[in-house]
This record gives sequence, C-alpha cells and structure tokens, in this order.
Amino acid sequence: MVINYLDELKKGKTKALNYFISSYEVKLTYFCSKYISSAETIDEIISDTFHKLWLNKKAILSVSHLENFLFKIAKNACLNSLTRSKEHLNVQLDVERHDRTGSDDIHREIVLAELMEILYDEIDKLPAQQAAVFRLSFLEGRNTEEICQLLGARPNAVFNAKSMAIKNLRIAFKLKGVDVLSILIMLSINRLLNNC
Amino acid sequence: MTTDFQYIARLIQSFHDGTLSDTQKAELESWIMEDENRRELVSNANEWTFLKEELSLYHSARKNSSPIRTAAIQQSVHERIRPNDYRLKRFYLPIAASLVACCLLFLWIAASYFLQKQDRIKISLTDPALAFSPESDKATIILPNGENISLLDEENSLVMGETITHTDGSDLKEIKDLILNDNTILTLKTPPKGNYHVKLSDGSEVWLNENSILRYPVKFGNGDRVVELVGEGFFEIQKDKNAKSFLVKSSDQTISVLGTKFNLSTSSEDHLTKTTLVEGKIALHSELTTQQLIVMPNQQAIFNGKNFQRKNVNVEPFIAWRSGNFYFDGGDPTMALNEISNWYDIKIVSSKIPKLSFFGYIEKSTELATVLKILKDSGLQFTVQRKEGQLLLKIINE
Repeated sequence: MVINYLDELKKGKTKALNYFISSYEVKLTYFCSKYISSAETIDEIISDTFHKLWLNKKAILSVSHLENFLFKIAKNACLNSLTRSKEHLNVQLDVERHDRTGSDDIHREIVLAELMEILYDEIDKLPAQQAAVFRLSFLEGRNTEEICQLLGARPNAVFNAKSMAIKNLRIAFKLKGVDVLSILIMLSINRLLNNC
Repeated sequence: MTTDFQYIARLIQSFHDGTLSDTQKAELESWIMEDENRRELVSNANEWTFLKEELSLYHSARKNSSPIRTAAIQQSVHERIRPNDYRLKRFYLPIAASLVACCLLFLWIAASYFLQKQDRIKISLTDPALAFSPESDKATIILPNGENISLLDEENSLVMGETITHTDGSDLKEIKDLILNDNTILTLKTPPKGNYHVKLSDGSEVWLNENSILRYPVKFGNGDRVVELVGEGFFEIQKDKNAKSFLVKSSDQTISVLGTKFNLSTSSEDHLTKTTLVEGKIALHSELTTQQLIVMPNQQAIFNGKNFQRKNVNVEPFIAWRSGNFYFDGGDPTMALNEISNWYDIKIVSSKIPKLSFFGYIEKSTELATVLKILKDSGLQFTVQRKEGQLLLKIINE
C-alpha cells in the first residue's frame, strides 16, 4: 500500500502528498518540538519540508529514503530557525550540539518517533484502569497521590496498575521485536556527550 | 562512536540486570570516570525515565494534531505547489459565476414578465391585503421508524439533556413519554417560514432556518460528533473535553470543527454550499475533490460540487435570519429583493433591478405593507398587482 503511494507521489499525484502529510505530521511535529517550542514555527517548518519533498519527489527511492529526507530537511529547518531566532547567543550552544549529530542520529530519531507511535497506540489497547494510570503518570506527569485522587483509587491499586501497564507494554514491544532500552540509552548517551 | 554507544548501552543494561562481569564492571566504571554526569545517567538509566520525557513530547504533538491542522498544512503546501492554478480560480471563477448569475436572472425576469402580463389587478399600499406577515407552520421531529411528531409548543427550541426539554427547563409535552436510546438519530425538520433552535447533548447549539433538516443523535457517543444538515443552519460548537471533532455533513461536503461559530447554507436552487465563519476555524473537505479548505472568521467558502472557493465577507447578512431579521448591508439589491420575495410570497417583476442600496435590519414579523414602504423610501419605484392569487411587485425604476 505504502509503496503505491510513493509511486503515486512520484507521478505528481497530490492525493499521495496528502497521504504522506497526514502520516508524518505528528511524528515530525514531535521531532521538531525537541528543538523548537513555537507551534507556529513548527507548522511552517513542516509545510516547508513537504514542499521540498514535492520538489524532490522524483529522486526519492524508497519509503525509508522518504522518511530520512523528511527528518533531515525538518532538522535543518529547525537549526536554521534557531540560528535566526532572536536569542541568538543562548541557542548558539544548542545549534552546535545538534550540528555534531550525524546521520545515524537521524535514523535513531526516526526509530524513536515510530516507537512513540506504536507505544501510544498500544496504550489504547491496555485495560481501561491501566491505560488511565499510565496516561496520567507518563503523559501528564501526575504523581501517585494525584492519580489516586483523580481515579478515586488506593495507592496500591495505582501502583499495581502502573506496573501491569509497563509489563504489558514491554510484552507488546517484545512481540514487535523492538529493544526499547537500548534505543533510549543510546539516544541519551548521545545527547549527554554532545552537551559537554 | 556508534558501536561504542551500543556497547555501553548493553553494559548499562547488564548492570541493572545484575549480570555484569568484573571486567565489564571495570570498563563501565572507567567510562563513568570520564565525565561526572555519566554516573547519574547510569544510575537513572531505566527505560521508563527516558521514555517519560520523549512520551510527553509526543503526547503534546499528538494532542495538538487534528483534522483541521492536517488540512491546514496540506492546504499551505498545495498553495505553494500550484500558485498559478489557485490564482486563476480565485480571480476568474467569481467573475464567471457572476456572469452566469446575471444571465439566469435576466432570463427569469424576462420569463416572468412575458408569462404574467395578463389579468393583473392593481393593489394600493394601504390595501388590507398587504397588511400581513407570514405565519409559520410547526416544526416536526421524525423518529427512525418514520413516525412524525409535530412540535406544537410555543417555544421554538429544545434541549437534549437527560430528557428532552425546553430552554426554560419545562418538558417538551409532545415527546415527553418517548423512550429513546442514546444513539437514536432524530430528524428535526423546520417548515417554510419557521425556524427552530436545538441544544445538543454536548452543549453545542444549532439554529435551524426554514425548510431545513438536521439529523443528530439523542446523545453523542465516544467517537467524533457527527450531525447532518440539509438547508440552512447556524452552529455554535462547544469544544469537547477530549478534543473530539464535530463534523457537519451536508450533501456534498463535510465541515470539521473543534469549537467555533458558523453558518452553513445548502441550496437546492443554485447547488451551492455556502459556509460562513463567524468565530474560530474550520476545515472543509469533500469526497468530490482532493482540495481541502481552511476557513477563517469573516470568510465564506462556496462549494459548487467540484471545488471550493473562499472570499472575505461581512457575515451579518448571512446570519441575520437567526435573530428573525432581514439584514441589508447596502450591497446587492437583488439578494435583498429575493429574500423579501421568498418570505412574503411576492414575485418580483422587473426588466432590470435598479442599483439601489437597502440598509438596515427589518424584523421578519413586519407586515408586508411596512416593508414595501421602506423599499419605497429607499428609492424603489413599483406597483403591486395580484394575478390569480399571486402577489407581484413590478419595479418601474428607469
């Protein structure tokens, strides 16, 4: 199916472009939000990125090539925007840090975005109580006490639901063959090193 | 470098699993010694602490995503891809459309002139026959089994709460005893010259103009909130706690909204679907085109069955019906005369509509004689005639 859309895109079908925009919009927004906080700027960057994709559509070889292209262009646009931004001095360090990240890093970012999408969808499949606890804790950053109050549950129940949720998600990832920990550790070490 | 990370990651993982050999322990320790920040990283290296940060970023990206945002991005990319195409549509379509409209108007006027020349009786403005204002019939609710229920109550509104009531909280007598499922689809139908107001289960409000139909569920379910409209309605959509989209479907287009105020008019006469936005932001799409359109306040989108067009408008004339008024903004006199013609069942006969400007609000409960007097004061010269029971307004301006 996806390959069909790629062929359609290369033929110049705008419907295929719409398809890719709706499939990658959230992932790219997430990726850009690591660099840039203004939602408007991110919107501009994303529409810029897809415009560039359209201009270069004939050169795209595969879907993973397309992903690489989108993330790379988006990253460059983010960096450009940071350089142009008013707090030039403050972000200078950031720019240098991100500049040192190579293409391996882009690949990891793509994997991470994919991972987030899978994880997010897996949360929906959890039993209701587990999903609610997981969302409050991991997505909204609530502590156990707050979760107890919101759900009217005892701390023990909340704790159990949380560990069950994590266990279930881990099983789901294992089934999909994703090694979450090593991806995350690599990414963090990478950021840490670049920070120094 | 990369292989180093992978190796270190594995060491950290084994460290937490407690399966680290002495040599590996030393290796990890020397790696930590290179930089003090690493100790903290290693001791906190639990997948879920990393995940938390990433997930909350992804969560906010996902939360801010909506069909409207996607459509906005798609539209902005499309506009950059085909600037010429879009410019062409924007400038020439309105001109073409108005040329066609002029021709049609001319034909209609010519036809009505020739067909109704005979047997006319002149009526003076003080004639009691003109001292009337239209009275409305009753709105009806149609149940899925086809049963029709006339809404006889005085108040032209209902509220979909736990039970169905009037705005003042009193029961709606006619449907009080019905037992309805939450997902039952009700059809609210307004008669000619009567409108109705309904507050839906999510607090969103719809004003339904005459001769219109609104289909909606007794209570919205877990998915998107979906209603269907034929005719004309004004919508005031409440934002949903869980950011569920509100979709308004009409015969050939769908509007998606989060929270906003707009007027939708579908006309069987000219086959144009007009969406006029007062507040907020909406996205339009249709199965008949890949084009998607974002509409901002004080803009009107027109769908002709093939593509969307957008223009800036004064919204007042398009929403005045809601408060039971005509609103004339000094613009197109044809539009004003057509509205009066439809409301009072009086046919306009004219070889040429004069370039006059009508201004102001006129309540729809105003008697025809008074409205005609206002037209006269605005400079319209005419005689009123009757032919076989049909009132005619013959314009005689040069």
